[in-house]
Amino acid sequence: MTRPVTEDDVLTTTAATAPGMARLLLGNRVAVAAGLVVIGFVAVGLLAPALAPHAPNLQHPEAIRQPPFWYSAGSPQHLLGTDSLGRDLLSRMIYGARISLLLGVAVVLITLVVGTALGMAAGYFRGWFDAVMSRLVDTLLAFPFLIFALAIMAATGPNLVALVAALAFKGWVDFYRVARGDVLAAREADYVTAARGLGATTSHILFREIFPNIVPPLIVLATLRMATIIIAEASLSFLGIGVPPSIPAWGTMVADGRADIAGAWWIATFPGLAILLLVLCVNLFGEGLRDVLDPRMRT
Amino acid sequence: MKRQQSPPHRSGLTRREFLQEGARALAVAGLGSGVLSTLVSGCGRPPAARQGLRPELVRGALPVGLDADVQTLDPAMHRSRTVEAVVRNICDGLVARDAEMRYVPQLAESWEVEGDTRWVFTLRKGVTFHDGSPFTADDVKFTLDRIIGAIPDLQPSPRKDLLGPVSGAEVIDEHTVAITTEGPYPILHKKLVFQEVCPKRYFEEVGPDEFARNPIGTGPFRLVAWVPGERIVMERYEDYYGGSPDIPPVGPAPLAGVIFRPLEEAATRLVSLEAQEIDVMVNVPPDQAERVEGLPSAHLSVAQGTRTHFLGLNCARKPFSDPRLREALRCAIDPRPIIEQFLLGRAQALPGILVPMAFGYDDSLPPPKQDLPRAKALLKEAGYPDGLDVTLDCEATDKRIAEAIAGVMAQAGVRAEVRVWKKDNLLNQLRRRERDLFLTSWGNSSLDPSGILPVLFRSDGYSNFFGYADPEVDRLLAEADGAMDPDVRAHKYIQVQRALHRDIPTCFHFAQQELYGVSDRIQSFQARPDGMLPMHDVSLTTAS
Amino acid sequence: MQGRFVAHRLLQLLPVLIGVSFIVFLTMHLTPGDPIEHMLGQAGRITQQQIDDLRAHYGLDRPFLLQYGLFLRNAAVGDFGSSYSHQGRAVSQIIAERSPATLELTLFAFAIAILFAVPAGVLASLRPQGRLDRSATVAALLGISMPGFWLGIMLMILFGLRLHWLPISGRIDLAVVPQYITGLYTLDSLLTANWPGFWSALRHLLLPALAMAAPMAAMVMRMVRSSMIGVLGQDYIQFARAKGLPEISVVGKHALRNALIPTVNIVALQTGLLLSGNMIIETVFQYPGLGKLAVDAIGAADYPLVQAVVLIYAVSYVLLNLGADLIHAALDPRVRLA
Repeated sequence: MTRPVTEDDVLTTTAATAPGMARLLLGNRVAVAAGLVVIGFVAVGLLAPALAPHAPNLQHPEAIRQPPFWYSAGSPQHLLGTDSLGRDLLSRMIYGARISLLLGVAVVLITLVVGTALGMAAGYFRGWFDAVMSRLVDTLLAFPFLIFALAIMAATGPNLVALVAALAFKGWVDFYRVARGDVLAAREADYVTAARGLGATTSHILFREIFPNIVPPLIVLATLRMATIIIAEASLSFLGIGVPPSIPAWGTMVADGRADIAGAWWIATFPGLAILLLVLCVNLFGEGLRDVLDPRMRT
Repeated sequence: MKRQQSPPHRSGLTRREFLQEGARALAVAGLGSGVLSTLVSGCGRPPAARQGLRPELVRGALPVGLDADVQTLDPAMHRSRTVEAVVRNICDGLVARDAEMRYVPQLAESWEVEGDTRWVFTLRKGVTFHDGSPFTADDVKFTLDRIIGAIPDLQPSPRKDLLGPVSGAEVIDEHTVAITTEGPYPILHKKLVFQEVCPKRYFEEVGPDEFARNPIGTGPFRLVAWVPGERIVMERYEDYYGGSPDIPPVGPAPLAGVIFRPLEEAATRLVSLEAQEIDVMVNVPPDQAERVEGLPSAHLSVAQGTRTHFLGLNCARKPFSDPRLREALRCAIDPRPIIEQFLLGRAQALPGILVPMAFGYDDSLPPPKQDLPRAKALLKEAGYPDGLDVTLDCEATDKRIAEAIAGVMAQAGVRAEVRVWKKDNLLNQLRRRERDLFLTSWGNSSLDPSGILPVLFRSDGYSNFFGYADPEVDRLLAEADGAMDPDVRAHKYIQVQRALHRDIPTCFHFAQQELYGVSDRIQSFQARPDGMLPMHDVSLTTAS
Repeated sequence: MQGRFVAHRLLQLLPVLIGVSFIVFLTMHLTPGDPIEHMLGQAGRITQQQIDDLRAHYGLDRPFLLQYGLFLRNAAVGDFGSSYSHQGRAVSQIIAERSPATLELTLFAFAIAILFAVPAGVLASLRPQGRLDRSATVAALLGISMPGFWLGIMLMILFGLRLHWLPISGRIDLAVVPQYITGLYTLDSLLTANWPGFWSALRHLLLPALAMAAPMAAMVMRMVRSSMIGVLGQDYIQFARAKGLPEISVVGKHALRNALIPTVNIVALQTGLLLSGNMIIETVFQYPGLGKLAVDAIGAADYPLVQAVVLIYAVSYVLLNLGADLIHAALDPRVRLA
């Protein structure tokens, strides 16, 4: 795909050093703020037992469907109100951050490693492996993610391992493509030819020469994929086939609140806002990263 | 996506390549066009409608909001209460029930039992199907043959076991038919309530697929259109014979028509009732009952339900093979506070599986009572001084109750983790006795213990989730099945209930009320324990 | 030459379809749910004989590969078998009944997305970092960060329950149902000059379509914007301006046409995502289309129905990509289709 030359290309050449990149990133105030918010979510998740005013699954029968504190019927005991079983919404949201972040990181790591490894192999060695992988990728892409996830989860029942598998099943393809594409380009590059000429082994070329160069776009992709995974997990939990119900999860909470949208609207609204905020900040931070590390990918 | 600068191609293909590519192209074309034609054929095919361009709009049709969708309109090919409620308006049966669950003859005028196994039914005369053809004994025989599987090449009916051990039907004359059973079967007439009569000639003419989309019957309403997922429209059948003489009104239906709309989400149904888009709302969730009562244009109609919810215990393996633990569980929870809080009192706590309206109900059983000290003592005695960790499995709709129960059990030291399953998945696992503690329910629409006790508690019961096996109970159930004298049957069932109360394969029983939201412009709509919706009996207030 | 390309790509459809259908077949057969038991559900005194009869009726007692082979053979002529969760009714019929609803919703969502995103992207690109651009960027970021199911519920609450402006379920008011021609209520109403019906159908479509369109609109808008910014900086644009051509022509004809090239790819990709977003949105709104059908069918282990729906999605996805490539080639004379 040809592309006109813009100032981005100038940026690439001047900011190619790590200190340069860091300075550039920190200059983007929005991205920094977003990054801090994400760190904030992580902190909240880690410190959940200390931060949450109540236990997340504890039912308060005297306060069923209590509105948030700014209503006259609300109380500072339950700042964001309670759900249909009398469970404190704020506490459940705090604990919900844990599972979203945990699953997001786990799935992204798995897809990153698998996709990159396969992509590097396909891009460097080509041949039958590349051809077979190409067919496989085409088939997987034509497969609607939700159907596969539904089928797995409907079969195994509520099960975190199966959930990770369902979420990861299509995700590795993006990493595969980026890795493969970059390796394809890199293997013709001068520095690789030079290394080969000097007698370097294949693994040396792959890991020491090529790999460091493909890391930046992979990091960007990983961050942006994290956002997608968080939403995907929330969607599955919303449909009732994601996180088991004993673990508080934002998607499940929105589903719980669905019956009450005509009255106790807060039960479905606030958990969704949490998802929105976290994903938004992950996206903002990822875009900031991308501007710095890999302006070629800019949309 | 391949797009490169490529060298000029060779001008043609070799013959081999041509054949290969041709073959592949044909295969793709076939598969692809099969898929696409399916999609495209949806456009341009009208919904199931009667012949001719009759407009679907039926003036004055009453909209009813159902809580589930219908998958078929064939009375013999489903196990869905919703389908039965809808189809019962199109097709009548030999026997019916009134709002108090009393059995009344409908298409059958009367019947007699000869010996133990032969029932002779005298059929009503002058009854016609919606296409004008007369209703005769041939149609009854055809209906029953289809259900018991006596007609080859037809899909087996999932309602066969509902009918019971019927071996065949014999046409005696145009309005008399004899039904034979495999052994003494005291409740045949009760079970006929669940089967509706299909027209033999029409069915043979149009075939099973078309019949499922476009059935006709002898009922008070005739199907006008079925748009799956959206609506089922029916209009009054003017030549209706009148229905059972024991259920007023007798004659053609007062309503000009009915439109059933599947609205699976309770919130949606409620909003539709409020906006007066529907006049009847099926299944009001207990926590919305007050809201319906507060509506200016609608009211609540209540009936005691026939479905018992219960906590089941697996008696065949640890931990609950130990009867002390089962009793500990029973002492740990009293259903009534939970019913008050989470079902807002819209359910009835029961000492056992049967509901009070059921035949042979034992009202001497003590009501449940919470006794936490005893529960803890029993746990300790059984070897669990620090409490017990278990999993409580349930289906998605029962999640809240399950979590509430888990909360209460924790007070006695039983720490339950709630696990939610899709209903069918859960039932399959329960049948394989893979679960130890579970919350589920079983319907007893016939209100006869033979419909619930054997299947759950006989040692070879198909749905014996508990691994319960007591030879005495087996014997009593078998004897009850064959006893033609109602008093003898009742006595045996009472003994079974006492045995179950002693052995505790289940605890925490309750039956929810059936709640309907009804618009004030309707008079004479009555909620029914069996969940049926006989719209023939519904009329509007004169002001409407 | 284009014909060869199309034929070649359609041929590639075959291994993909076979692969997809095999994966689904395998998955569903390996999963522990037994569809016969699903069908019988709460049945009481069921005998093993009854179960075996039903199993034989549906051919489930045959070996796996034989079942798969039969499935392929039947599928090639459009026979997708009988649905388990719909009591034996033909799968192709059930799908045909629900497709117009999903088709209508998807087309409407697609139209909303494109009609909003392209002009917004163009306008934003004319003044980068300006007020319009900044708000559009924020809106786009929100669009891709919002979970679709939540957006649907929020729309329901705001426009349906609080403001009472729009209905939250159903496809049309029963009083104005149009004559059945295509099954798309908007189209049928137009064709029969049924204005109340058209209006009612439109009102019912609006909320689910908005929820579906949001992520796609966001991505497309960003793509159009950045493409346009890139293109507008080119020399030949300056040249056109210097020649005195009116700005509308410069932007609309020259710049936009080139900017649309990468956009077409994004649109194709996003429409694929639109299809899976469709399943969630249809579930949220209880909209009677293919998406809801698929979700229900999977829950009921209804293999034939799930197979058919998955194949439809796969075919749509591949055809969309093919279409995107063709449009791309049409727009960009530099590209030669290989």
